[in-house]
Order: sequence, then structure tokens, then C-alpha cells
Amino acid sequence: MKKSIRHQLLLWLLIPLLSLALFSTAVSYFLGLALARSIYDKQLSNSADSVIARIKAKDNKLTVDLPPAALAILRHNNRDEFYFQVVAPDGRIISGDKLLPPPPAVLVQSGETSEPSFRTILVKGNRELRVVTLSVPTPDLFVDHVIVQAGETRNARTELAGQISISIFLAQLALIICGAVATWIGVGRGLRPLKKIEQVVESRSPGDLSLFQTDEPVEVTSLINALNRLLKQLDDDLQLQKRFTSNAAHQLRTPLAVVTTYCDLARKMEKDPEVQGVLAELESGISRMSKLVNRLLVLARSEPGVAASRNYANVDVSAIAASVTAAHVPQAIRNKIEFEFLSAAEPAMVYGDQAGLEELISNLVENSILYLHPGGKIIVKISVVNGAPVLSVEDDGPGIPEDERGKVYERFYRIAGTEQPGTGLGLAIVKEIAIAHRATCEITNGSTGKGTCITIQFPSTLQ
Amino acid sequence: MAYILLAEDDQSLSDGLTRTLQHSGHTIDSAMNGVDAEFAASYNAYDLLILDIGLPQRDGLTVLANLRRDGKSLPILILTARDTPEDRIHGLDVGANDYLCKPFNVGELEARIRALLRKEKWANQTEIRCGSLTHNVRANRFLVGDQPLELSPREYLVLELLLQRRGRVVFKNDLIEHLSSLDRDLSSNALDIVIHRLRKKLEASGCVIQTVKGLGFIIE
Repeated sequence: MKKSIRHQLLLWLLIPLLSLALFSTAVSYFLGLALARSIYDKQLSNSADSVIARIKAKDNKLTVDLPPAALAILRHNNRDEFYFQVVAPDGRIISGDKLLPPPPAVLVQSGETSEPSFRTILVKGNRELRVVTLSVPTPDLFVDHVIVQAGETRNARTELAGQISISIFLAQLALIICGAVATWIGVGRGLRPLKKIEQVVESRSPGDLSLFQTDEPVEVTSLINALNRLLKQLDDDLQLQKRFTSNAAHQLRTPLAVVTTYCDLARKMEKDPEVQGVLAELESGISRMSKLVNRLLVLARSEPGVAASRNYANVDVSAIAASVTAAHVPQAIRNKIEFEFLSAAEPAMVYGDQAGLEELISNLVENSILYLHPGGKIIVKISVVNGAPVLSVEDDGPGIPEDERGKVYERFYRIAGTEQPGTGLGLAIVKEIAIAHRATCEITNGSTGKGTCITIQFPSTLQ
Repeated sequence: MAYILLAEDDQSLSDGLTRTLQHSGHTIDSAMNGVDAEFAASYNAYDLLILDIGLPQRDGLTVLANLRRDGKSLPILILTARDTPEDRIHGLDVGANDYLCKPFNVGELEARIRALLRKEKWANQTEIRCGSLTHNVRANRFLVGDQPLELSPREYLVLELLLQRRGRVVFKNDLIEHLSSLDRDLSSNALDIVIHRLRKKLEASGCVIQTVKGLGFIIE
């Protein structure tokens, strides 16, 4: 598949944006964890304080009076487990859960009141616990201080961080989707001038080399300018080729005219029948050469590039075919060939070059006359199918073998075994002119199964 | 026969044409450039000018335009290597009577010269012939041999147009239009009937009206 600007832009927009979104989601997760820690650590510390308040001295023994109802209050949520421990200065556990590890030795011995210290530890069952350790002076008891530890699992904390990061990710995703849609629409609109240029180029006739107008955005203007420069250069080259063709014509034709004239003069002056025969052969050779030169020049002029500089107009193929056929009737009568002309009920309009179309039809008709034997018949038919003119020239002559049909358009190609003095350029000219008119060319058998039918299908003028 | 000025810059072609045309009985003056050609055509009463377009010093089209501007009405035949339709149209528009491209068939050149010289005398032409059929234009009648041919007005008009354009196809529509002074909107079938009757009447004359299906009729 070809690259699309739209897809490319979208791709280059989405890949970095999505990566950024993932990165920021990860960052927000860690920030959320920090936030959760500061909130829940405070609560944990409060819970530890509450445990201290419940320490009682009874019979020279320290106890913690913590009924289940009070314990339920100390755990802030029902997703997390809560553990506590009261440790005497000598390291003995006075009360609480054995699950918690012993407090750091520094705190146990110093006995000084200290800020709560937090740590995250791994306990049995591979669970992470957040533990706060406090050293509290107890003036009214028989020991001067106790160490209290409170711990809880981290479910609530990770949940909060997860919620924060997911909501941030969803918000970013929504933003990216909106951005992608906006980009898709925006690029589509931005590329509209290109679409317009495409339509303008598409709708041009092959010959049209006029420059494009530039009322488009700046980015497209440079493209149009480049196109225009190319068109200009093409036009210049064509003019050059046209001049060359015309000069070559002059250079070839005058000497040919000289030879023709002298050959004719010689025939008039010479009475010897043997020399007359030689001169007649000479004359027929010259006449073939003249025809060849003419056809070559027609071909040079028919090439799409050169045909480009011609004047295109709406013309009626039916009228052109009628006059071209009529012009060939006297020759056909001399060769004892019958003509039939079938015209369409409606005009067969083609946007094209009158002289080129005359040449095309003339070549088809001449070809038929050349290869037909006396008594043959040529049918020139014009029809209009769905607004598209169709021209066909059919004869009941020798026909073109199926495997030769692709080759007869080649220049100077002659079917092996043909004796008629054709130039080998007639159908090449037909093809070139047809292409210049966006018409297709097809060779089939004649309607009776023999002979040749060449059909030129022009594009529809209804659009 | 005729007094012809040949303006052609190619020495060899000019000599060859001069000798050929002299052989046919014409008197030829030749000019090798545009200025000489215009000068000669302005001061001599030629019957015909054969003019090359690519002449040195002053090109043929300029010579042609200058001569026409000066009121010269002699027939002018352009002989040139430029054969695009635009060239032909331009040449004829500027005032040429005919246009022939190199390389030409000498027989065709001579036929065109004859036609141009004849055209000059068309005003005096009173008779057109085909086989033993004669059309006396002045007397408005047709003769087969010495016998007058009895024709209906429709038949007369049809035969008149066919003979005038002898050797060329006359389109059905042109014939119907030509008959519009007699019948408005004559049908194609009615025309076929007229042709059918004409053919019968012309059987003895050797003058044959041929049908070109879908186009019209031709007398060769």
C-alpha cells in the first residue's frame, strides 16, 4: 500500500502521544503512592497513639485494653489488616500480635520520646506491611517508656494510587482520541486543494498544456508552480519538435517534388516504350515514397505531445466521416468497390481535433480500399451508445489474422505475404490519433465472419 | 495556352516545372524570390501565378496579400511543403485560389492549373457534358445526342446539381435542399423515386448515376 499523508500524520501523532500518556500514567501512579503514603501514614500514626492510650498498669503488669470494637475503629478500612504491638524497654512483647518484627534496637534502648518512624517490611505470606514505631514515655507507670508498633497492609494505598493513575490515563486517552479525530478531519480539509488539483488535471484533455491557476494555500502553490514550470518546458519542447517536423517536411518534400517533376518530364519526352516502362516503375516508387513521407509527418504530428498544441473543439464525427467517405468514393468506384454509410440518428459529438479525426477516418477507409478486391464492400458506421460515439469501418476483404491484430499498430509493421503497396503507417496513425482523443481501437472480424472491422470507441460526452 | 509566373526558390524544381509546363504548351516566367515575384506579377498580365510560400526576401503569403491588396485578381496556386490544415486555411483565407502540397503529382498540378484557368472562363461556359448528355446552361435544357431530354422540374434540378459536381458525391441533404424551391421537406424516398426515373431516362446516354448508400449520389 502507498503511504498516505493522513495515515502518516496520524501515526506520528499517536505514537509519541500514547507513549507520553503511558509514561505520565506511570509517574502519576508513583505520585499517587506518595500521596497515599502521607495520608495513610498519618492515620496509622494516630492508630498507634490510640493504642498507647489503652495501656494500663495492673499488678505491676502492663496490659493493653483493646476490645474488638475499638480494634475495628483502629483499622480505617475493611480491605486492610491491622496489627499492633507494645514492647517493653527490655524487648519483651507486652501485648499485641507476634507477626510484627521486633522494633529497631536504637528505639528500644534509648527510651527517648521520638518522632514516629515508618518502614515498609515484608512479612510471612509475602505481604507488604507499613509499620510505624513510636517510643512513648510512661511517667505514671513503673517503666519509664514503652515502644508501640502499629502496622497495616497496603491495599488501600495501592488502590488509591491506581485510581489516580487510571483517571489520569483515561482523561489523556480522551484527549488523544479527540486530537486524532481533529487531525483526521483537519488533514482531510488541508489536503482538499490537492484533490482539487487532481480533478482539474484529470478533467483536462490530453492536449491541454495551459498553466494552472494558483489560488490555493501556500504549501500547494509551490507544487502548482513546479507543475507549471514542467508544463511550460513541455510546451517549449513541443514547439521545438513541431518546428523541427515542419522544417524536416520542407527539406524532404522539395527534393521529392524535384524528382517527381523530372520523372514526369522524362516520361513526356521519351517515346521508347522500354524506357517508358522503366520510368513508370520509377514514378510508382517515387509516389510511394511521397506517401510515406507524408504519413511519417502526419504521424509525427499525431503523437500526443504534438497533438497537444492542436485546437480541440466539439465536433460531429458523423459529419466528418460523411465528408471523408464521400471524398474516397470516386477512387472506390474506380476500384469497383461499394460504399455504405450508416449514420447515427443523433449527432456524434466528440471533443477533439477536426484535422486529426479526418486523418484517422481517412486512413481506415484508405486501408480498406487498398486491401479490397473489386466487388468488395466497405461499411462506415457511426453510432452513439450511452452518449459515447462509436465509429466502425468494416470491409469484406482478406481480414487480419487474430495473432497479427496486436502488431498491426506498430510502425512499419506489414502482415507477411501482403503485396499491396501500403506504407505500414496507416494503423499506427489511427492508434496515435485515437489515443490523443482518449478513444479505444479494436480489430474484429467483419459482421459476416470474414473481412476486417475496426472500431473506434470515443469517450462519452455525457458527464 | 497560358502565360504563367512560377515563383519557386528551389532552382532545380523551378527548372523542372518550367520545362514540364512548357512541354504542355504554357509560357513560363520564373522568379526566384518574393520581391521579384511580386514585381513581375504587378507589371505583367499573367493568367496564373504558381507561388511557393517559403520564398527568400519576402515570403509567399506576404506576396499573396500584397497582390490581392493591390487589386490583382489573377488565379493564384500555392505550392508548398507546409501541409497542416491551418496552413491551408490561412493560405486560402489570404486570397489563394488553390493549394497544393509538395511532393505533388505532376498530373494533378496540371489538372489544377487547367481547372483554375477554366474557372476564369466559367462566366462564358454554356455547356457541361457527360457521355452523350449535354447540359446547355443558357438554354436551360438537356440533350442526349441531338435529342432534347424531357425532364420534370424535380428531375431537372437533381440532374443539374449532380452534373455541376460531377465526380464528387452529392449528399442527399444537399439535393433535398436544392429542391426546396419546388417542395418543402421532400422525403428521402421521394428523392429516390426521382433518381430512379432519371436513371431510366439516361440509360441511352452512357451517363450513370451511382448510389452511395447512406451518403448520396455521384455521376462519374
